[in-house]
Amino acid sequence: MSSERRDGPSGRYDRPMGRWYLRRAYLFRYTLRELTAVFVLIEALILLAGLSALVAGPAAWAGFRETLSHPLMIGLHAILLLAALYNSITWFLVAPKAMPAIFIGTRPVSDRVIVVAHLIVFAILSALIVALLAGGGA
Amino acid sequence: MSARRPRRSHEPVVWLLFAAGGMVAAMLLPALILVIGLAEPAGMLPQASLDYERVARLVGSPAGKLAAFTVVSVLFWHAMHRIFHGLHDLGIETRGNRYRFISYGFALLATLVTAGMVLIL
Repeated sequence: MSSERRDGPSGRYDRPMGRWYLRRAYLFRYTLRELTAVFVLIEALILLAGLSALVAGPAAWAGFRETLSHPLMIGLHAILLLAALYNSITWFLVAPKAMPAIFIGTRPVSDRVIVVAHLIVFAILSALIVALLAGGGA
Repeated sequence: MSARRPRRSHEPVVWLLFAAGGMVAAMLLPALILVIGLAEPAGMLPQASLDYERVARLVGSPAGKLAAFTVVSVLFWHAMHRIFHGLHDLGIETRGNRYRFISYGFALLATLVTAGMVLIL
């Protein structure tokens, strides 16, 4: 009987994990959400590279922008945008569960109100970023 | 070395940084990616939008430096925290400190590099 035990390196019973993320829809969604971290990391590295180029001067900055204009980089950013949007939506959906309950008077604020409030702030901040970065002229 | 002294967990600290990074990523990242990675390279923005002088002035201001440092550094903490906990989901034994040091060490290193960049900008 003990020969059927699959003991892992820790000596505990280790449940078989082969493709566990495909077993249930919610496990797959969980995996996708956690996977967005890899894309966030890539974008953070790109932003840091841009910051370094800015420090290095106009020539390096021009090189950075040229890299961003490469078709492969534009394709990568399309994927990064999808991942970021998925991360945003899942983040807002768990926000009511992650934060302490809010009350107006004695009535608790419903989850839906909290999610919608996050979406409104998201829309406003997104518009501000576009307005701030797009422009120039003079 | 008192036996009564409880072992402190680092988890609240890194969770706070993870949550801050999650909020930054959720609120700001789609718009940043849209502008920097898609709209601008595709020529959909005014010509001078991301010119060196303009971006250097924007990011180089005190508020810009603070914003750039905060946004970029917490993104690293967010990503590395999730990746560290994701290792467990991949069946990697993460007890002990090795993977913690690698994950959060990388986030700390990236934070220091970002701080350095912002300071000399």
